[in-house]
Formats: sequence, structure tokens, C-alpha cells
Amino acid sequence: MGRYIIKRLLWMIPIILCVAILVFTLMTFCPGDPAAIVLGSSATEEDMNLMRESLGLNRPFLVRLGTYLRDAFLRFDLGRSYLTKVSIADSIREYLPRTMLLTIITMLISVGLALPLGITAATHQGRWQDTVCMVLALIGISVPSFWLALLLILEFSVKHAWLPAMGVGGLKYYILPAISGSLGGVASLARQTRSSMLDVIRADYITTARAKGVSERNVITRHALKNALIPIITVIGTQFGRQLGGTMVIETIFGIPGMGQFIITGVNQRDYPVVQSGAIFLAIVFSLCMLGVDLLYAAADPRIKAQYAKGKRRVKK
Amino acid sequence: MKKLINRILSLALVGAMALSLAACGSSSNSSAAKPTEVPGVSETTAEAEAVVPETGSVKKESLNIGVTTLWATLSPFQTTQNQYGAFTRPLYDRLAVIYDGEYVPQMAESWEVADDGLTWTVKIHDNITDSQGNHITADDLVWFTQESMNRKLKPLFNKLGEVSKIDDTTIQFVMKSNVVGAFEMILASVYGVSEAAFKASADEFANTTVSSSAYKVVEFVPGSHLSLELREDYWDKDNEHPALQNNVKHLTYTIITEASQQQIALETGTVDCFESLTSSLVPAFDNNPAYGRATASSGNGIQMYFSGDESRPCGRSEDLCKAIAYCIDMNGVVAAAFEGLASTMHCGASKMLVGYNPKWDNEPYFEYDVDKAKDYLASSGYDGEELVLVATAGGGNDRLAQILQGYMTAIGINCKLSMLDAALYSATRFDGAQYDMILVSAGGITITNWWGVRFDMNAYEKGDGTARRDETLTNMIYNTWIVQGYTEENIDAIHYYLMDHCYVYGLVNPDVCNVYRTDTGLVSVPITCQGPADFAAAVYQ
Repeated sequence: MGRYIIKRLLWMIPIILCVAILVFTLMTFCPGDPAAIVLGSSATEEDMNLMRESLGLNRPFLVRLGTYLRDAFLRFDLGRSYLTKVSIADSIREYLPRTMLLTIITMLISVGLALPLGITAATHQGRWQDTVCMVLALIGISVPSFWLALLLILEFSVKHAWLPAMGVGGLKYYILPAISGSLGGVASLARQTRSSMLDVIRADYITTARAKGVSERNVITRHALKNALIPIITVIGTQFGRQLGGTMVIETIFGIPGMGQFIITGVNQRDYPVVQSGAIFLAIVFSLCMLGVDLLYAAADPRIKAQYAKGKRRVKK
Repeated sequence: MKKLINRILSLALVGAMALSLAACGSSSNSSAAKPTEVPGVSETTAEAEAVVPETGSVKKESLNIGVTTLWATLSPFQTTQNQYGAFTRPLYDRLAVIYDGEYVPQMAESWEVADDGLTWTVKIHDNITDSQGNHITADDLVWFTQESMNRKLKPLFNKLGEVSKIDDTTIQFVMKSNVVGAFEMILASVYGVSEAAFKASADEFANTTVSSSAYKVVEFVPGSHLSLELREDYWDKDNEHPALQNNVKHLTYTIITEASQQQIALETGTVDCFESLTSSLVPAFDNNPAYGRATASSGNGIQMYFSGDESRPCGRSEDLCKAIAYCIDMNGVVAAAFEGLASTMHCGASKMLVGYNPKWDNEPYFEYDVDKAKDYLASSGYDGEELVLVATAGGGNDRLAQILQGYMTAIGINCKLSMLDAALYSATRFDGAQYDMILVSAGGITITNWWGVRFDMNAYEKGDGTARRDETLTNMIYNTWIVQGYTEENIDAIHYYLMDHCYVYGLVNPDVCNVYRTDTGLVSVPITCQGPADFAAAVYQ
């Protein structure tokens, strides 16, 4: 198992390297002059040339790429923002904890609501409970998060003044953003749970378990759900990675300076170091999430764990 | 029994979901976000005085100010973006501040220029100290200036040749050329920072500052808020100039970019006032006694520049440009695109610029005349070719561009809109071959400097700001840059030259609306040169 994890971690290196090269190349050839943005509208050509020189933008592409890769991967120096001159590593340290906290709360809400909904729908397939759950899931997918955010603010901040409408601070500042951001996830996860549960719920071993007198609760939680978990874990892992990458809309509405705002602002301002480092960060996050998902597969399914331990791939027959 | 329990559980779950959604849904009817009513205030919206003749106001305990932009770092060396924001003054003292079109000495006692017009000598106060007790002398300000020159983040420092210390309270600046207004802009950009304190800072003042200003930083969360506390030991607390008052003990600037959150924050009292409130929200607070408004013209007008590149129809035909200028009813634009919160322009430059001649406001300026527009269109030889109007997307520009497009369509001009993000726009704006018209919203300090940025044919690779090469105009502008040529007659000549050739059409000066809750007790508030109100310097009951 340990070897498998080390192997996966080593595989992350070429993946992140490729992402870094790709993003660097895209940003270089993307229209937009960082010097013009940094200096504003009153800068002359001479001013901008001085700034390009100062930022190193006049050097050949390959030289800049080489310097960037050396700094990022050998010296672990992500550079400084063109616009603010603040260290990118410091900025990530500043913004990441907020996004991390928001992501964790959002995922807790998503999983906490979606699994019971999906299980209820599956165990009552074709009945009114199933219909209600799936209608709720459909509403969840259809409701835009910004609209829900504004409704929640009106109800809980303006009308009752129970929760702050915006800003950063204690845990209470994250409740409304997390609810707003989780609804779409609840919906898709509930649908996935229902679908996975339906796949296993009529399997022979479930019927056998019932025939042996195992309680319905145990049949669902210990036999059906455990075997239905693989696709559910995949969805949770993907959602977690996406959330951690930052949810720009939620962060903007609730005034939370997080990773989403940080990276999108960098893109809009052609702040190359911010975008490149942001992309590397996202690549690492997604790779780790996928590794986490694979490890959870092993925890959920002993057959997969055995394959990891042997170092063999699962082969479909 | 088990089935029954399951049913109850599932019902409870479904019920909980339904209730939570219903609760959210019911919010839509709760426009109950009513502002606090303040007794004894007149029924109309209070209007604060923009100029404050009196000082010695009561010190207000705390004030929370909403802003739409704030520095991502507190570093004094960052770019000129937001340099004139109202939140900058409580952070850093300057040699001089710009107020009401004039330079008001702050750290400087006086300044004078030598006969060569290039060498300036500045005398500073000898009692300037920062929040750590460091004595700020000429050495510190020379270091700050040199550091600004080296970092090249503020183009205005590129006009400075050298800076040196004469003695502890005297500094000498030598400009590269005697461009009118260039030195004064440097005065407003040299901050009171101690070299020792800056070098001792681990993050170069990114998150906290040590400066000579009246306030010290309590907390700064980039992208969220900045909290400041008034210093008891501020060196300049006896200054009586209304723009340099510090009448609030605890200041918090909160960044709120989302429009509905701005309104909610004002209504719930999360913020006491808002600098530069989104204009579409302003009517919601007008005629409400619980709120007041201090309005000023934006330092940045919105102008439509015509391409100077001859590959474009507008670059080839001045008559086509005039047809476009005459076909637009700017009063209609002000009403439709700005909710009436703007004024029409009478020049290609903002009336807030130093050197703007107020007499132009009373002269005709491309007054809406469809017949005249059609005559110019006929004489231009326009053959229906598609004209391209470039503007930055968002910020109300989309609406403005669509209205302009409508006016052009009405007289038979085929106009295509090209709405670009800020980065693409900045890559496009100097290349007149890519557009016929471009909407520009930018300001400056002096009108001659602003014209230089836009119409100096040597400023950019392809010519002036729209790729035009007009030597006559360039020489006229150069003439106004030197002190002897900076005359009303010469400035007038450029204004009329630009009108005759229709290189630019000044559209509107949007209003900057600073809204405050009247329960703050605000009596009057000074306005900064770009339009935001300086609530820290306001007079309170």
C-alpha cells in the first residue's frame, strides 16, 4: 500500500510539470500586456518598455520558461505578483485556509444531506418518497447558487440578523456561503447515491442478507451502501477538488477573499505568476484528491486494497 | 414497524429539505430591508457640503466605510492604481495632497523652483515622526523617492532625474524636463515612511505599515477589510486644513464589490457610509431621510476616441467622426445609462483636470442634431462598412455602448460592439487598426498631461493613443508642457483643434455618489480629487 502511495505521489511530478509548462505557454501567448495593466492608462510606451524589462517580459520565451521552472520546482519559489509585489506563497497561505474551511463545511453539508436523500430515494424507488427526493435534487441542480445566496442573506441576515451577510471572521461567516455552495453538490450527489444504490440493492447478496434475517437497516448500511460507495466517493472527491479550487461566485457575493478570487483576479489582470502558481496549486489539489479517492476505494472495497497491495492493476474480464 | 420508522425518517428528511427551501423562497418577498428611520431629519435626502470651512469637529468613536476597491497590499511602492483613493490618506502622509484642484502642503512646509525650471527645493517639517517614534527626515524621503524610481511601478517617477538631501529638512528634486504639473504629482506621491522601519518589516509593509500618518493599522485582511486606529501622538494633529482632518478614532474600510451586498450593508448598518456606491443603487437611498449623499464628478470622464489609423473608416474621414458625434443625444445617454447621475462633457477631457477651462461648459459641443449628422455622413462617403466600437466589458459600459450603437444605427451607421476584458482592452487600445471608436475612462491631474498621453504621436509605437500621427497637434501639446507655454490661449487652441478635427468626443462625467447614514451625524465631508468622499476627515455632530 505504501509503495502504491509513493508511486502515485511520484506520478504527480510529471503531471504538475506538464500543467506548469502548459499554463506558462498559454499565458505567454494569450493577448494582454501585463505591463500596461500594472501601469494603468497613463503610461507611455517608454514607461511600459521599462516595466516589461523590469518584469523580464522582454526575454525569450524559453529563457523565461526555464527560469520559471527552475524557481518553482528547484527553489520552491513561486515568485511575486506583478501587480502587488506580494509573494505568491504568502498569498496562498493567506487565502487557502478560508477556502479550505469553506470547502470542508460545504462538503459536510453536501454529504450529510445527499446520502440520506439518495438512500431514501433508492429504497423507496417508484414511490412518492423517491419522487420528492428527486424533485428536490432537480431543484438543487437548477437553482443558481448566487440566487440562493441572496435569498439566504435576505432571510438570515437582513430579516432575522442571525448570521453575517458577508465578510470573514469566525465560523458563523461561513454558514451561509457553505449552504449556498452546497446545494448543487447535494443534488448531484443525491442522484449519484440513488443510482449506485439501485445498482446493488437488488443484487443476490442483498436478497440473501434479507433472507438470513439481517435487519433492513444493516442490509442498507452494511451491505448495500458499502458496495455502492465507489462512484459516490468519486463524485465527492471531484466536488472537493473543485470547491478547493475556489468558488468565485460564492466568494464574491459573500466577500470572502479566497483562492477563487485570487486566481480569477490574476487571470483578468494577466498576473502571470499568480495564474501559473494558482494552476500548479490546483493541479496538486486535484492530484491529491484523486489519490485520496483511490485510497478511499481501497478502504471501501477489500478487493481493490488487495490489488494495491500486490501492485497490480485491476483488469476487466 | 421498521417500515413505519423508515417512512417517518424519510418523511422527516424530505420535510426538512422542503422547509429549508420554503424558508429561502419566502425571503424573496421580504423586501423588509427597511433602513433605520432617524427622527428629526428632513424628508429629502440629506446633501453633505463638499467643502468644509470649519475644523475642530467632534471626534467620532468609530466608522465603518464601504469601498469597492482596496489595495491588495499596503506597500507604499505599489502602482498608481487607487493612489488617490480616500483610504490612502489615513495610511500615508504625503509631501502635499491634492484638494479642490490645488496642492495642499502636508509633510512639506514649502517648495520653490530654481530659474532653470527643473530644480525644485522642498522644505519639510522637522517634527515628523512615525507610529514607532522614528524621526522622519530628508534622508527617509530621499530614500523613498529613489526606491520609487528604481521600482518603476509609478510612471510619474520616470520624469524625475535625481533627488538628493540638502540638510535634514531640505530635499532637492531635479526633473528631466520642466513639464507643467509633473513635479507636483511627485509631491503627492512621496509618502512619509522611515527607511529603517521599512527595512525592518518582514513583508515590506504588505500587511501592516509604519508610517507618519494619523492612523496605525490594527488589522488588514487583503480583499476583505482594513481597520485603523487614530494615533494619539500624531505629529500634525494641529493642522487646520479641512482636507487633512482626522475626525474618527477607529476606521474600518470594508470591501464590498457585489452591488446587492452594498445596499444590504448600508441598510443593515454593517457600514455607516459607502464611497462610490454603484450608481444603479443610488435611487434606492434618495428621498430617504435616513441617508445622505455627497456627490462629486468623477475625475475620470468617459470619452469616445476615434481611430487615427487610416485603414479604418473613422481614421480616414473626419466627417464620419462628426456624423457620429452629432447623432448622439448625450442627455438621453445620461438619463438612460447613468440614471441621471452624470453630466455631459464639453471637451475631450474631464472637467476635473487641472487646466480645464470652465468657459467651455457654456459653449456648444457637438449638440445633438440628426440632420447635421446625416449631412456629415453623406459628405463622408460612408458606404455602410461595419465600424467597430471597442470598450471594456462590464461596469455599465455594455449599456452605454449599446445605446451609442442604437444612435448610430438610427442614422444608418453599421456599428459592431467589441466588449473586451481589461487585459484584452489594454492590448488593443493603442492599436487604432483594430477599431473605429474606443471608449476610454481614465483621468489624470493636468489637462496638458492627459492630452499628452492621448495625442502625443511619439508616445507609442504606432503613434498617439489611437495610432494617429498629427505633428501639428503634438507640437501644440509639447508647447503647453513648458511653463511659458502653459497659457489659457494655448490650451484653448488645443481644445478647439480637437473639436475641429473630431479626434475625440467627450461623452459623460459620471457622478461619484458617496452615500452615508444620517445617524452618523455627518455634517459635511471633503471630496478627494477623484470623487470619493474622505469620511475620515468629515465633520460630525
